[in-house]
Amino acid sequence: MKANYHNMRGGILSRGALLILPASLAAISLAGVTIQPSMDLRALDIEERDALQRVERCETLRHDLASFHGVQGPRLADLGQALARDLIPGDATPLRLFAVTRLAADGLGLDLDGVSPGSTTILDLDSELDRIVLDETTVTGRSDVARILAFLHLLEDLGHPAVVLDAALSRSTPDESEFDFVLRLGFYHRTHLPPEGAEAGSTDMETMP
Amino acid sequence: MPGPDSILHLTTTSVEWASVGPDGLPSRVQVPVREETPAGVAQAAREALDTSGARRSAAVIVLGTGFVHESVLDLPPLARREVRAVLHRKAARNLELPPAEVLFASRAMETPDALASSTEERDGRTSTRWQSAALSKRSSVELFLELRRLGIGVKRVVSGRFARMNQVVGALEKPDEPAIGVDLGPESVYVDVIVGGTIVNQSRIAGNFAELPSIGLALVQEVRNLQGWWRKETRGQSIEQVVVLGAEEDRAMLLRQALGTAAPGARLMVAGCDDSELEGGRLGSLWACGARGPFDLDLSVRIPRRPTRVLAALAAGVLMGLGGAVWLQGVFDERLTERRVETALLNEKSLDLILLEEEQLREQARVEGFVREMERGFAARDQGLPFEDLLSLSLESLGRDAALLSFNLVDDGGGRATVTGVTSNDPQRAQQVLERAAAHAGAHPDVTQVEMDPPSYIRAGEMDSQHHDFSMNLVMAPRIEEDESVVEAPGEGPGPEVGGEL
Repeated sequence: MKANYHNMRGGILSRGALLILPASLAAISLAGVTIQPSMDLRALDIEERDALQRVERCETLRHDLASFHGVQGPRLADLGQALARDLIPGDATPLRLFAVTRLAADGLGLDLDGVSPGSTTILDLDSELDRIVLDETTVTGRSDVARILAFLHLLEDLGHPAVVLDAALSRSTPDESEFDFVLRLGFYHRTHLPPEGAEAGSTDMETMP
Repeated sequence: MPGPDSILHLTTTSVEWASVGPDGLPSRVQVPVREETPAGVAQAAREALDTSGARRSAAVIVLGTGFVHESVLDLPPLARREVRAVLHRKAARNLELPPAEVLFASRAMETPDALASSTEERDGRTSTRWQSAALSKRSSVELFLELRRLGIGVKRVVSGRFARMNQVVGALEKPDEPAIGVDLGPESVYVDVIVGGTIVNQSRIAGNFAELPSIGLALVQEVRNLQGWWRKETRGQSIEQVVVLGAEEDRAMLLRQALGTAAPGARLMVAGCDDSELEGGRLGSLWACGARGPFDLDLSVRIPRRPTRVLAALAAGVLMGLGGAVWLQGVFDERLTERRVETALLNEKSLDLILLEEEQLREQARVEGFVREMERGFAARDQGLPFEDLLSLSLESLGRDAALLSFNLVDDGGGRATVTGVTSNDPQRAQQVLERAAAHAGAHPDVTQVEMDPPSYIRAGEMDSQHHDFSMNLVMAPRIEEDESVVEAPGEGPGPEVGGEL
C-alpha cells in the first residue's frame, strides 16, 4: 500500500490562498464589469440580425414591386379584372330575359312556341361585392340546327349569355329541314348581395354548389 | 559537497547554519540555545546568521532533537480512516501530548521482496511499515512564527534523520540493493538497514562518536549484528553496501578499516575518506540534510499569514480587478458603440418596410381580384352542358350517309346525348357508315363513351327497307376542374369506349 498521511497543512486552499484571493477578487471584478456589456452585445447581435433580415426583405420587396410596375402590372390587373367582370352580365330581371329571348328568336326567324321562366339558382360563387345566379328559361319551338345554334350566340351578343341545361331536338323524317326543339336555358348574371340576415327567410331560390 | 540550499539545523540545545559564502567557500556556524523555547531557538538562529554574515535567503529548515520525533511503525492492514487515526494516536503517544496538539506526517514503505516471505511467515499476515515524524503543534508554530519574524525564509522543512537517509540512498551504487547507513551525530550514532526506500532495521548507540572511543567498538559490533540478522532473514545473503555519514576526516580511515572487518567484501563509502565523494565531518552531515530522496516527509507547518501579505494580496486583487475592469469597460464601450451605429444604420435602411409590405399586399390583392373574377366567369359558364359541341359532333359524325332524326341531351354528370337517325338499307354500306360515325365521334378528345345501336338488319345480315333506323349514345366528359394529382400521359389514357354491335 502506497499512502501518505499528515495533518501538517490546510490543503491547497490555504496554501494558495494568497494567490487565490487576489485572483478571485480580480475575477469577480472583471465578471461584474463584463456581464452587462456582454448581455448588451448579445442583444445587439440579435437586433442587428433582425435589422439585416428587414433590410433584405425591403430589397426583395422593392425589386418585386419595381418589376411589377415595370410591366404595367397594376394597370393590366385592373383591366383584366374589368374584362373578367364583363364576362358575366349585371343584374337581369325575368322580364328582361323574356324580352331578350324573344328579340333573339325574332331576329333569327325562330318559330317559338313558348318561353317559360323557371327557378333561380344561386351559384356558390359569391364575392365580396356580388353573387352570381342562374335563371332558368325553357324555350320551345321549331327551327333548323344552324339557327338554333345562332340563337344561343345571339343571346350572348345581346349581353345575356345562356348555358344549355338540357335539350331535345326531333323531326319525323330526314326530309324535314326543321326540328322541333325544347331547350332549357340557364341565364347567369350578377346580382347584389342581400343585406345581412335577409337571406334566412328566402325560399324561392336554391343554391347550387 | 555543498548543496545549492543553505541549511538551518535546529535542536533544542543548539542551532547550526551551513551556507556557501559570497567567496564560494562553505561555512558552518553553531550557536548554543540559551533558553529552550521556540523564541530562544529563533534567537540562536539569528545569532548564527549574523555570525556567518550570510544574507538571509530562504533555507532548508532541518528539525532535530526536541522538535521532531521520528519513528518506524508496523501496522496491520486497516481501513484508510483507521490508519490515519492510528498514526495520529501513535505520534501523540511518542510526544506524550494530546492528539489535538500533535502534528504528524507519515509515509508507507514497501516491504522489500527479500523480506516479504519471511515477514509473512512470522506474522502470518502482511503488515505495512510506516515512516513517521511527529511535532508539537504549539512549539512548531511558535518556532516558525519567530523565524518569520526574524526574516528567515523557509524553503522546506525536513527531519534531519530522514533527510540524511536520503543522502545514504543517493550515495549507493545500487540503490535497490540492501545497504547499511551509519549516521554519526553529535548525540547518537544511528545504524540503519535500508532497502530502496524502506528502513528494514535500525538501532541507536547513544553518545558522541568523536568523544567516546567505545562507541567505535559498539558500532562495529552493531554492523556485524545487522549483517547476521540480514543473513538470517534472507537465508544467507549479505549486505554489500555500507555508507557512513558524519565521520571526521582524521578518523574516517580508521573507521573504514574497522567496518571492513565487520562487513568483509562490502563496498564502504565513508564520508571524509579520500576515495569518497561525501564530505566528512559535521558540515558534511548538514549538507546531507539538503538531499532529496525516498524518505522525504514535508514537515512545513501552517502558520497564520502575515496581515501585511493578506492586505497586499487584497490590494493586488483590487488593483488587478479595477485595472482589468477599466480596460475591459473601454473595450466593451468601443465595441458597443460600433455595434449600435451599425444597427442604427441598418434600421434606417429598413424604415419603409411597413409601407413596402402594404404596397405589396395591395398589388397582390389586385392580381388576386383579377384571377378570382376570371375563375368566377369560367365557373358560371361551366354550369351548362356541351350542347353545341355534341350537336355539331353528331352531325359531323353522321355525315351525308346518315340523317339525324332526334337529339336528346341530358345532364349525366357531363353530357349524355342520345342521337337517332336513319341510314342506308344496304347492310354492308350501313355498317361502314355507322362504324365511321362511331370512330369519328370517339376521336373527339372530350368524348368518353360511344355506344352504337345499329339497325336490326345489320345483325340479321339481310336487306330491310323498312327498318334502317339506328341509335347512338355519346357521352362527353364533365368539365371538371383541373386536378394536378391525376395527370395522364398523352396517348396513354383509356380513350373513348366504343360499344354496340357493329
